[in-house]
Amino acid sequence: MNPINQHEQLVTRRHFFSRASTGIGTAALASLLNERAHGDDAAGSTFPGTAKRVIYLFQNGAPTQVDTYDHKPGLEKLRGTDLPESVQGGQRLTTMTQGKSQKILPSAWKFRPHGECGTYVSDLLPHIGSISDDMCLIRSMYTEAINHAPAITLTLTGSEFPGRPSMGSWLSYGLGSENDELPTFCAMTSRDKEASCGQIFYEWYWGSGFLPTHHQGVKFRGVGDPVLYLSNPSGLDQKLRRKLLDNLSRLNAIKQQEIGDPEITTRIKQYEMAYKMQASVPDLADISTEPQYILDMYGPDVTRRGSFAYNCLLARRLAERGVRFVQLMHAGWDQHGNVPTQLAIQCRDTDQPSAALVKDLKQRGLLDDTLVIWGGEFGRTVFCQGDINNEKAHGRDHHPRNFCSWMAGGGVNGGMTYGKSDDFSYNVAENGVHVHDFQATILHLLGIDHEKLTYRFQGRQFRLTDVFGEVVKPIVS
Amino acid sequence: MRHRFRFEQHLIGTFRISTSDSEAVTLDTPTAPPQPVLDVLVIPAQDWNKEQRELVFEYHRRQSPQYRAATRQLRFNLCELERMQGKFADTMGMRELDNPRETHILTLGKYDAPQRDNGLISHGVPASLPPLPEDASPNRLSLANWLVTPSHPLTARVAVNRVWQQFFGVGLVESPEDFGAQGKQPSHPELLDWLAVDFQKSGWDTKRLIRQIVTSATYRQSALVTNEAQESDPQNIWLSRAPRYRLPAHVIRDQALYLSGLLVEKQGGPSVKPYQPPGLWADFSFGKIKYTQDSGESLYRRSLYTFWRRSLGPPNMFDEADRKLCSVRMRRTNTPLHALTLLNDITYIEAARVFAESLLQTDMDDQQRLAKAFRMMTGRHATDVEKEILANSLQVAKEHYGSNIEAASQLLETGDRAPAEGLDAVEVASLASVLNVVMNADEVISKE
Repeated sequence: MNPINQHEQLVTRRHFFSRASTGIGTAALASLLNERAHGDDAAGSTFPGTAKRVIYLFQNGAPTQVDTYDHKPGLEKLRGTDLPESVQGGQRLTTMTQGKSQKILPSAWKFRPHGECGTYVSDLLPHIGSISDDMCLIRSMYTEAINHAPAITLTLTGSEFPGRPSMGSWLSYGLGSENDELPTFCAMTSRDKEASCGQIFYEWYWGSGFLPTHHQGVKFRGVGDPVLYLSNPSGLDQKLRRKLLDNLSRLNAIKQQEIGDPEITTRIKQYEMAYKMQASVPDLADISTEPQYILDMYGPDVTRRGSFAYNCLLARRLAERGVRFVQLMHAGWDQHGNVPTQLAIQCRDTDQPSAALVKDLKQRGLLDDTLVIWGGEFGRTVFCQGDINNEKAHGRDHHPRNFCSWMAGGGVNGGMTYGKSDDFSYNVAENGVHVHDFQATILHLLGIDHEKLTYRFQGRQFRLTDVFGEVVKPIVS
Repeated sequence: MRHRFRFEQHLIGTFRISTSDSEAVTLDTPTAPPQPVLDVLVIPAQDWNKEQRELVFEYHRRQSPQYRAATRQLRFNLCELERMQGKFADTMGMRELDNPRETHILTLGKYDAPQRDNGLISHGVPASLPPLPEDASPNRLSLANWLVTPSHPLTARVAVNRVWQQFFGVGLVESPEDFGAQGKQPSHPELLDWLAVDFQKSGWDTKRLIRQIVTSATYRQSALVTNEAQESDPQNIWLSRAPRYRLPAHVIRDQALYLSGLLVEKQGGPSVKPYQPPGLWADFSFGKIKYTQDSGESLYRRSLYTFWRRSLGPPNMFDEADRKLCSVRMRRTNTPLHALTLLNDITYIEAARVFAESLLQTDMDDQQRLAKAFRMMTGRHATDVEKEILANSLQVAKEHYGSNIEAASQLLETGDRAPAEGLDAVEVASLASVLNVVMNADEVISKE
């Protein structure tokens, strides 16, 4: 047999999909389509999704729904009164407010209707208000966890305990990559300038858990190399490296020919890809080619590397290049005692860039198949944490029973609100959306049945939504 | 009367004669208690409060030489204790409660809502497996004994499978963490059982087991993948060839350190903090936790000793278990990020440079050096074609650095190990840049 043909033949489809980080699909797609791969599970076919990629603007620390999206004008006349016990319902609170007085603290900011849909959004978020016709605001989110790390872990991995694959890895596993020069799943982090809250960004928030590790999110960093080990060491020039790598490929090809292990062919490709990434990543991170009016859309912070605004712009550039899942995480929403002082700053830092991202995607025709998600891990209490008479130090405690998130693009119905909280923004009153429902809906938008995308580990089929979750059909167009 | 006070120019203020019935009277004997004790002594003893009593008694005890010696010893021992405690790490132990506490089922782990209606639950082993001996008390010790009892082969099968996996890349049971009904069937059930029973009978002799595996005809086959084998057994489940797989990241690092001669083979001791790109810890922890890199030999210990923070493991240890859920399977992926790590991590650049220096310190010529390096990296001699490729690489590198001497010196600065003296920077940089890349050859980073 001709050695070249043999060489080509050895990269079987199965082999390439099972190990390599990129390709048209992955082992998961094979398992979704192939009943045999699951054995006991009548795996159905996938259906065409409306979204091809996701940008998740994760707001670490739990944004207060009371002051941003959940309009409760009726609360004003109850200011300073005790939250009725019937509303509180004997709930276990955090030790910060358990057993203390629970005086109702209405929002200090005005709400006004936006767009044709007339969705009420607080004056803290005027830019996000301006995209309300593109966005589906969910006002009935709820979760189980009451502390940050478990709640974030639940939202991003489907379990409060670290170790499960995160949403982006599931999508990488399920859908593969659209780009062979950049990772399928990228994560970026930023925080408020005042560093008012100390929620740590754990690596497992973008980890692949028990999925093969090439599905884990690649952290794009705000300092140093954007991707770890991207740069050649000083004194090693790229042109020389190129020539040496060509010789490395020759050595590997000889070995491949001799031993016939298809893994070697994959390795040759990965080294090629690494070399390409050394050019494509700096190109991606170089925003100097962006026209001024685009930079202006994202606001003054956009030129500061590592800021939320910069990351939003980078997210658009990643989406343009076909990166499947971009996970931005911005910390600083944990206003236990600084609602009057810090919340406005926090909103100012995130409002304009979030809205700009949606607008920018839209003007490029990318919003149709890019799903943008904005939300945190839980909400905050309607009652005041701290002394209600000390107006400078008003705070709000953690609140898992009701909060707000929104989605835009990717086939989500724009200009709508879904679900309702009760009059106190304390309990879900209508159409509750549990975190697992939220996840099921995201997968659905990407054309994946959340009950079918599974991975066998320690004796059972695992999935992002665990054994729960229902697609929220009314918000899907 | 003689004045023997050492400050002989001092005048005597008050002259007083004291008498004693003590046998060993010296000038050091305190003649009177200190003032605070005297102040108490003028009070009748029955009126002393607790502190006053303690003051007088302590003064009295201190008059005894035995007591003073004992306290000196005590102080010394306390210091020793402190020193020893600092030296040895604490380790957790387990002890059964005298009265075991009541335990109920916690549905979905809800610790505040025990299922009291379902009654108490107690220790035991799965009903599908042989029971605990009747006379065994249901505790950890019984469980430990039961695990290795010859009446069931499960533990031995699991153990044997793990060792097999270590050598063949995949276990005889592909799901090493799951031998239950949901796990994979063994590919060679008789072999697994034979090895398991033999392992039990040998007194759980791991060395013997390993010897059996590595001296077997199956293990010593060629790794060659024939067309036929690729078609009929692409994943080598039927073991028609020897295993071949990429080494784990920690082994690749150890190997690079070994090749360069940098490896410090010292055993034991606390974890070490080798190279890591700056700012990683500070970044994830908002500056609260900073990584302080070690220096000297700590940089070159085996990867086994590398400090591992669970929230952010060492970044160059790709594909390793992430320390969240128990994981006994080997993970092997093949991504461009791994390539970047092995090409650009300071660990590997420095290793290549020091490797180059050690070769240049011999009186071999370039060709011999490349041949030796290749042999050390792969365990075999290079073929003529391979030699030609290596020679070409070195020539290209020499041409480059010959006209970029500054770049050559820069490359030599990489890593904490000072550049070897008396060597030509262009020579070192050229050979180092070649070795760095060749150390990435599939054959070098694969077990074959």
